[in-house]
Amino acid sequence: MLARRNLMFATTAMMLASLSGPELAWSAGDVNLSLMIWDPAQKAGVQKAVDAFQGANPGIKVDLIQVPPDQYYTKLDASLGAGEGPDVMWQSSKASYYVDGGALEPLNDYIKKDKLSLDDYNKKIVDLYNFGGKQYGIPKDMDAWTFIYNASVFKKLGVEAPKPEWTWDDMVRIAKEVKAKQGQSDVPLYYNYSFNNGVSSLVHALGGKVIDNNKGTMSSAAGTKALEMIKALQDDGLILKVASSSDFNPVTSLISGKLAMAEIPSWNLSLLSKADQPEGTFQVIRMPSVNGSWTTDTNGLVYVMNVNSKQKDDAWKLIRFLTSEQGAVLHAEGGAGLPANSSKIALRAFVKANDKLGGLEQALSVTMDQSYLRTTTQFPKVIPGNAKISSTLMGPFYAGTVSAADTAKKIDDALNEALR
Amino acid sequence: MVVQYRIRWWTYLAVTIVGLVILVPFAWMASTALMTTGQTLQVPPTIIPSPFTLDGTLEVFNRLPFGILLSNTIIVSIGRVLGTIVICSMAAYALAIIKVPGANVILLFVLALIMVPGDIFIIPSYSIITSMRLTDTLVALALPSLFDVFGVFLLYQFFRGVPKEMVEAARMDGASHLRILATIVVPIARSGIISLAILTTLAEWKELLWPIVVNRSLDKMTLGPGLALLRGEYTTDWNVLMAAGLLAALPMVIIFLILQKRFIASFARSGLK
Repeated sequence: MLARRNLMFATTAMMLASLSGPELAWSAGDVNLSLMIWDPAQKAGVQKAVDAFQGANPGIKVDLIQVPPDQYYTKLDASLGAGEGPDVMWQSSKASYYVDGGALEPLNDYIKKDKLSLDDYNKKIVDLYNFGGKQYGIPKDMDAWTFIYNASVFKKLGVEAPKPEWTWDDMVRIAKEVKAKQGQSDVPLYYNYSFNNGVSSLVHALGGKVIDNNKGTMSSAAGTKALEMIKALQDDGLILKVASSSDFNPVTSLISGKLAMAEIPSWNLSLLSKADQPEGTFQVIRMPSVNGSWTTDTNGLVYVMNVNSKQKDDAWKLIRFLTSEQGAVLHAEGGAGLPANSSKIALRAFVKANDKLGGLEQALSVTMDQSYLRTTTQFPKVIPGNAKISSTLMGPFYAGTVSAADTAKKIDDALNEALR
Repeated sequence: MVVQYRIRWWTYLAVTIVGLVILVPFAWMASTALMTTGQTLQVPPTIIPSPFTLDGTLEVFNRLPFGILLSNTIIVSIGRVLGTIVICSMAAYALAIIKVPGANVILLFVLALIMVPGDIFIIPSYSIITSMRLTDTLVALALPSLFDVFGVFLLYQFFRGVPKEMVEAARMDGASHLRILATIVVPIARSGIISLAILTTLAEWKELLWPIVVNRSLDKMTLGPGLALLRGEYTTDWNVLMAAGLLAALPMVIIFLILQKRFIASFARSGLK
């Protein structure tokens, strides 16, 4: 009996020992860095840059962890709250919360020591991560929205493809022509209908603003007009009904040829260039102009350092490398987003990595300097307000139960409440 | 007197409707798993894959170490079930049989804790696991859920039904509490133990957030987070995700089919659904 019990204890102890294993990263070892990101589509690009970093620094091993986007911040909160967490991580619009919580390391001393010039990066993105004169992040990428059309769909239907200098009216006319010749289940156009992207960009293109003097200004003429213009696309059947398009995926629909043209963000371009389609199938043009102007909202990710990192100098080395010209080129080659490093070589690498997309360089060159900071990026306080706008205000508007003017007023109320 | 119910046509109708409501999503998952990515994106959606393809299923194995995830899930489920049963039965024994001083107050706390959503404990649990240096281990996946207040409450209800006389007789014969628990209480409340085991296994099988938070390496994950990794931020290959979902659900379905009678009997006796 005793022997059997001892045997059971021994087996249990062995099982537990085999399950727990030695603790390797995050706490032990002086040259084992961890890097946490959320986007699976960009993992290959980041891994490519990390591999080059490890090659150049044989003493440092980097553990790249990709966490599903929905759970990224929960994992970060739990680990940073326990004084743990990755040494280096991605941050976006929520960075200010982590700076306020004292979870991120200010990088000024490192920047000064290495004489790193922040002029080498897109200024809008650099400034976004400067809080109280302290720089907390080095920019990785920035966003730009362009239009993509599937040239083979246009050829098949015999419709003239959009021109690089097109206007909103051209877009509506072309979408109508496509719709007339397309199959029942196909879709002519995808235009981003969310408040934070599609609607706000159009407001800016119309010469208006979403927030001015710390107050919501959607009730202006530009705000109401933007709402009406996008709703008209839906009402004319040029874009899918908003209520039934939450699962609609413009990228995969462009690839499958079910969709003729779409507004696509830069971070999705690599998915199109990796698609199994002949070169030249996808053509890129800038956003259609409204009264001669066009614009794109932008945001940018940065690499930041954990204030509790036990290897800060090595973590800085990693950040420095990942955001350098070489790092940006490697990111781009591996299919990551549009580099925020302003070097021409980095942009060319991005264009080259996506060279299956015709007209990309021209479209980006006339888009990147027309950008404004995304509303939730410039005013992080409105992030919860934006969620409310998307979930409770935009739905009834597109369903036709609330007018554009009333919706604009309610959006302003939601923004003002969040900005208070 | 046994009441005889005559089964009328509307009974069949109700059973058919409810059956369809339950089975259609599962059937759709299975049919999506057998489509190509292109077919999954058609508007209006197609129901029957044409042609049938196993590309999605093969892609699951390309993208995920499915075998490792499955074996991790099995190991963690077994560990969690054993640990939960041991801990909960001891706690329930103390409350229902020994009736330790303050048992009613403790029970009130147990009930209150059942009503708190589990995700609230993620951050404190993580801190505790970190201080034990157990992050990124399989033990970390099961450890916080071993102390299952719902399990304590469930077994407490069953243990209350154990005849007091039997326990007293055993005490008079000199049996220890542990012996009474193992040889008298547990066998009598067997259906409660089985119910708890099933519920715990299902909970572990579906666990998503905690493994992602506490572990980093893919080879220390379970099926839930593995499946979540197949969801892209902007694009998802639904056929691959559904094939993975089907593969993940399959072991549970097989176990259910084998043990069907016991499952239903134990739930019928436990009054749970």
